[in-house]
Amino acid sequence: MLDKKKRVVRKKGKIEKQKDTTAGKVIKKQEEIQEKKLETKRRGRPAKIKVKETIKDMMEHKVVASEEQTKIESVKYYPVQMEEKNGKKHIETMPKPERKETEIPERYNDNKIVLLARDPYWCYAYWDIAPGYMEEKAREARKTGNYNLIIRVYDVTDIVFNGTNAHKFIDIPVNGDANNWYINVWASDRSYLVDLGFKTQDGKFILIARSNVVTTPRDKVSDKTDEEWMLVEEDFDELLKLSGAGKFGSSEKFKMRIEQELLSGSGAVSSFSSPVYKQEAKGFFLIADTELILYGATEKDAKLTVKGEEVKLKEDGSFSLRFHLPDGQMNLPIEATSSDGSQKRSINITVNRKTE
Amino acid sequence: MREPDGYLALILHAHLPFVRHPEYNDPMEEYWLYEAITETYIPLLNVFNKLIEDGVDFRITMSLTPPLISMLRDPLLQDRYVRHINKMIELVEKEVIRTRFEPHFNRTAIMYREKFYNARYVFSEKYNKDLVNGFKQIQEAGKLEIITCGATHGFLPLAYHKNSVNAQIKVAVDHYIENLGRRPRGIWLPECGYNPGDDEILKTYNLRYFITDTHGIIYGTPRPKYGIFAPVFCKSGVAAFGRDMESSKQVWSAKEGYPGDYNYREFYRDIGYDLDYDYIRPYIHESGIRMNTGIKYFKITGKVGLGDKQPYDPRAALDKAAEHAGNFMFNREKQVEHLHRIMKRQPIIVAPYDAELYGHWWYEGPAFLDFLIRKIYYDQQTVKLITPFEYLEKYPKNQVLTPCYSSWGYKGYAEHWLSGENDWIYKHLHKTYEMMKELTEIFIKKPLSQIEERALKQAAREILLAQSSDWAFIMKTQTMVDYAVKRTKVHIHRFYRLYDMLKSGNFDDGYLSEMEWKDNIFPNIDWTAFNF
Repeated sequence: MLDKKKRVVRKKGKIEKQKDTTAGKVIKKQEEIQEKKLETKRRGRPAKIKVKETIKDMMEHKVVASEEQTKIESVKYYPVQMEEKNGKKHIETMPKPERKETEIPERYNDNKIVLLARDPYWCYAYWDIAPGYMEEKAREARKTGNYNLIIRVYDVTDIVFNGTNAHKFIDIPVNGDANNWYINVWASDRSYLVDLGFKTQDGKFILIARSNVVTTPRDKVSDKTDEEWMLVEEDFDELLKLSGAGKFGSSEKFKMRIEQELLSGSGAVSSFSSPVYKQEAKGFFLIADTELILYGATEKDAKLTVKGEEVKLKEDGSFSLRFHLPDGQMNLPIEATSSDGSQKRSINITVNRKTE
Repeated sequence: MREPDGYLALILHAHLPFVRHPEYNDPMEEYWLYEAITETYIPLLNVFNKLIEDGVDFRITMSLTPPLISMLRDPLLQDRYVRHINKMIELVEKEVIRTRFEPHFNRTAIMYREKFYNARYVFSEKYNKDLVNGFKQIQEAGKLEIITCGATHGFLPLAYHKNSVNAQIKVAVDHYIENLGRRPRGIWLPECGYNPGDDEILKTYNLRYFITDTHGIIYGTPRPKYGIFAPVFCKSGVAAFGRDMESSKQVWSAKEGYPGDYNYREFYRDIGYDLDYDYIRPYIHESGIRMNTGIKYFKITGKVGLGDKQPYDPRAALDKAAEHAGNFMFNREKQVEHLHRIMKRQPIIVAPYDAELYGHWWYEGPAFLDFLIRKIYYDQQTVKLITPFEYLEKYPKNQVLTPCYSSWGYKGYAEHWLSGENDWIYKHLHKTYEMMKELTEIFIKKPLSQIEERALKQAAREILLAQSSDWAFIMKTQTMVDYAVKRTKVHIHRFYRLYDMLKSGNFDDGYLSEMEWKDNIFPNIDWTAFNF
C-alpha cells in the first residue's frame, strides 16, 4: 500500500516537472512565432508556417486512419471463415476445375521496362527481357571487362528527354536475375524515367530498355497560390438534359445562380471566362454572344446592392460589373444606402435578350 | 426556413466484386453478396423508404458499382439469395425456440427473426428480387443520387495504358444508362484513385464530378483557397470534391469512432462457430466448414477476449445509435458555422463511406443514418443535406486546380495495390491491355462474323474482370488470397485463349460458350472502348 502511494507521489513530481519544461517550451515557441511574425512583417509576406504544420500533423494522422479503414474494408471480403478461431486460413471449398485455367505465361520476353509511381518517394519498375537479347547486350558489355546490371533513374521533370538532358540521374545496381525493383526516388512531385542497362568497368552505359515517364505525387501543400476560377457552363444545358434534368433543379434556376454568382463574386474572384456559344464551326463560322456592363456611382461611403447582393465600391464611389447576358429577361434592382442609413436611392433596370 | 450555414454530402460507396459461380452449388464467396443484401442494402432501402413515407426531406449520394448492379440483377444470384434467406429463416425459428429460457439471448433472436422475414418480403415481394429497382425509385423520388464507378472497380492510377481507363469509364457509363435509364452525373473513382489527366476521360463521358481523398485537393496545384470545403474544377472542367477527415474519422475509426462503442454488436462472435456442430451443420457451408451465419448474440463489451463478451441488447444499441447521430450532427453544425465565418460562403462537408460499413460491419449503422437524417431535418437549420451535383448548381464558379495523385487507401497513394504481395499482376494486366488494343485495331475495320463479335465481347469482359482492385486488395490483406489469385489468373488465361482464337480464326465455341455462361457481366459490352 505504502509503496503504491510513494510511486504515485513520485509520478506526480515527474509530471509537474514535465509541465514546467513544456511551459518553457511554449513560451519559447511563442517567442519564435513572434520573431517570425516580425520577420515576415519586415519582408511584407504573410506567415504560412502554421498552416503547413497543421497539415503535416493531419497527414500523419491520416496514415493511421487509413490503416484502420483498410481493416474495416477487408471485412467485406471476410464473412465466411475466421482465422482467429482455429488458426486456419481460408480453405478452398471449390473443387479444382477441369480446365487448367490458372495457367498464365510466366514471361513475355518483350524487351520492355515499365515504370509505375507508387507514392511520393517510391516507384516500381518491372521488365521482361528476352534471354537472347540480354546475352547480346552482355557480350557488348563484356568487351571492357566487368559489368553490372543497373537501373539509371533520370529526373526529366518538364523536359522532353533526349537521352542526355536530364536534370539529374542516379544509378541503382540490381541483381542480374531480378525482373522488378522498387526505386526510392529523391523528390516528390517530379517526373522520372528509367533505363535498364549494363554499366561497364570503364563507366560506359549499355542500354537494354527505356521506360515510360511517371510523375510522383505531391506530399505537401503547393507553394503556388495564384488562383484561377472557372465557371463551367458550356454544354451545361445539354448535359443537364442528358442527365435527366428536373429532379435536382432546372437550367433556368442554374442560370439565375450564375448571375447571382457573378454579381456577388467580385470580392473573391480574380478572373472568369464567359461561356461562348458556338454554332458548328466548319470552315465558315459565326460566333456571337453578349455581355452586360453595369456601371454607375454613388457616395463613396454608401452601401450598394445589386439584386440584393452587396457590391464593393471603388475608392471614388463608382462601380462597374460585367457579366454574361443570356437569353431572357434579367432584372437588376440597384439600391444605395447612405452610410448612416438615413437615405436610400434605387434604380431598377430590366434587360431583355432574344437570340434568333 | 433560413438558408443553412453549410451543407453535408453523405456518400455511400456500395461495391462488391463480381462473384458468380454457376458451376458450383454453394460457393462461399457469394456469401459476401448475401450478407450485404441482408445487413446493408435492404436496411438502407428500408430507411430511405420510411423517411419518404414520413415526409422527411433528405439527400444522399450512393455509388452502385456495375458489378454490384449486375449481381443484384442476376437471376441465378437472386434465386440463390432466396434460398439463402429461407435457410436463415429456418435457422432463426429454431433459435427463437432454443433461446426461450434465456431472455437475454431470446430478445436478440426475435429481432433477427423480424429482420430476416422482412428481408425476404422486401427482396422477393416488394421488389420482385430486383433491389436495383428499389434504389432507382428513390433516385426518381429526388432523394438519392446514384453515381457510377469503374466498370469493374479497376484501380486507375496503376493502369499504365489509358485505353483501360477509357474502357473502365465507358463501359460503366453505358451500363448505368442501361440499368438506371439516364446518364450518371458523377463518379466514384475506384478506391478514390485519381491520377492527373484521368479527368479528361471523365469529361468525354459527361461526368461532372468525382470524389478524391482529402490530400487529393489539399496537395493540388495551385493551393486550394477553400481547402476541401468547396469543390474545385480540374482544367477539363470536371469538378473534384475532397473528403472531410473529421466526419470520416468519427465513423471509420474502430477505436475512436462510433462503431467501436461497447453497446454495439460484436462482429466476430457468430453462432456458426459457437454452436454445437450437429445442430448448426445444415446452416453452414455445404462442405461442413463452419462459417458466419449472421446471427450474433454478443456486444463489443470492452477490451475483452471473444469468450468474455456480454449479451447484446438491441434496445440499448439503438439508444446509442441515436446518441451518436446527435453527436455527429452537433459536430457538423459547429464545423459548418465555423467554416461559414471564414469562407463567407456555404461550405460543403463531403463524408464518404463504404456502404457495407453500415450494417455489415457496424450493425447499427443504418439506424444511425436514419436518426441522423431525421435530426438534421427536424432539429436544426445550420446544416442541410445536399448532393455534390446540387452544390455545383448552387456554386457553379469554383477554383481551378490540378488535384494530386491520390487514393483513399492505406497511406493515401498506391501502396496497397502495389506491394510485394500483389505487384506481379501488373505485368500481366498491362500486357492484356496492349493485346486488347491490338485486337480492337484489327477488328474495328472489318465486318465481323457472329463468333468474332462474341469472342471480342468476351475478351473485353475477361480483361475488365481481371482488373478489379478487389483482387489486389485481398492479396495484400491476406484474407482470401487463394481465391483472389485464382480469379486474377483465370480471367487473364481466358483472355489469352480468346486472343488466340481471334488471331488464328480457330474458335472453340464450347469454351467460348462456357466463358459466356460463367462471366456473364455486361451483356451489351462495347469492346471498342479499348480502342483509345
